[in-house]
Amino acid sequence: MRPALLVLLLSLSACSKPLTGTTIHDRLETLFQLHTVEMVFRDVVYHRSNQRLAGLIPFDHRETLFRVFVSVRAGFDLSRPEFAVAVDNGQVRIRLPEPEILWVDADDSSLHEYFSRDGNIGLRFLQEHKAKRIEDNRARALQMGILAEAKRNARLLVIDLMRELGVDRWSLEFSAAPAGQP
Amino acid sequence: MNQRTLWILGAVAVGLTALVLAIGFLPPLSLITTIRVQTVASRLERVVSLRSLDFAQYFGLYIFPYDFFPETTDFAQLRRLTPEEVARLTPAQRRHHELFQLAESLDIRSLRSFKFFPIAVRARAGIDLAGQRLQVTDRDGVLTLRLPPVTVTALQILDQVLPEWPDFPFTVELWRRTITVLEPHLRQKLEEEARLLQTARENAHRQITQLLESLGIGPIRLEFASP
Repeated sequence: MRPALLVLLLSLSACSKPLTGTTIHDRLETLFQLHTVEMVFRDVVYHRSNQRLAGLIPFDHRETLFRVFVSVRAGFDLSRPEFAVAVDNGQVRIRLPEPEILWVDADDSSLHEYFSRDGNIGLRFLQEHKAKRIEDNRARALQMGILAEAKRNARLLVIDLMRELGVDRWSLEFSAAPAGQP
Repeated sequence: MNQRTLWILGAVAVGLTALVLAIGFLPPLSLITTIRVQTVASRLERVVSLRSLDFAQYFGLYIFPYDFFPETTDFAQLRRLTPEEVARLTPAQRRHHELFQLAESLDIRSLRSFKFFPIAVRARAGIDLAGQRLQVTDRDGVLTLRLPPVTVTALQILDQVLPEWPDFPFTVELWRRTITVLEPHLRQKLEEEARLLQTARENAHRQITQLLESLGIGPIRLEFASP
């Protein structure tokens, strides 16, 4: 009887799987970033899902058409070592790092549902869709020259700032990170 | 129970366990197939010049409704309020009541119901220099620079997919309404609990002072306008 009990107990214990899961920690961090341009994209999304029983009998048809605005912002990370401001022979020399995309977001409050037929698509779908829209529009903004626009606006900002500070002699350059650094 | 019966039970348990493990390695067998179609039309709407500086960033996760109501909140009591009583609520009470109405619209009937969803947020704080002129005054040899107020410059509901968490039945419109109602409450939590604005203000002070001193401008005092 004891061996049988042992086999039974071992079988039952083999049914349990190790604990899995994700831990999310909140965190507060300091930044020093200058945003100089924003591109806003309007995305209109059509989504349809059908479920079929045995591949033949359709049921649970859902359909929705909605709009969302996606914002892409570019500028300069001033915490990078390339950022420097110095006075050299009476001239203010400003060196900014190369511009980069600092922020991309699909604004959930801008969502507008044009129509919906049992459009209960769930939070998980909305999150997956949002991630895709963010990546697509980030790539589009880069193709459309957002970084060059960021540089142009930075130059205008520095012109205005130097004028307000009463500085007549100044220079501005953009510097990429040395090789091997992010 | 005799020994033979126990051996049979043991063998059945082993067999079932082996079957469960084997099924885990097989492709999913399902009589139900799902077809999803999605198309997107995207257009550049506008390009805007910005002049904003970000000094702090916060990542956090909130759970609705538990992080938005005190534990002792009685939804049944809120449900009994008449329209006249709701009209007499203070602004703070009305904001609280708005959260309750949101919960009702999401079919969350109490804080004991097993219905909730996570909201992961990323927020930034800083100053917006657009349309502002620097105000510099000299008081007794000390330069004072007056800057715009430190505010939350961006609030993002993160698209983190948390597979271990249960899904929640949102439509697009319901999600939009949820975020519109929750956003001011999230901003308040970021300011009060996460100390986002205070951290941004301290970092702004440090960075701008260093910047001006490197230009040979000093001593300097910084003042931030009130929001």
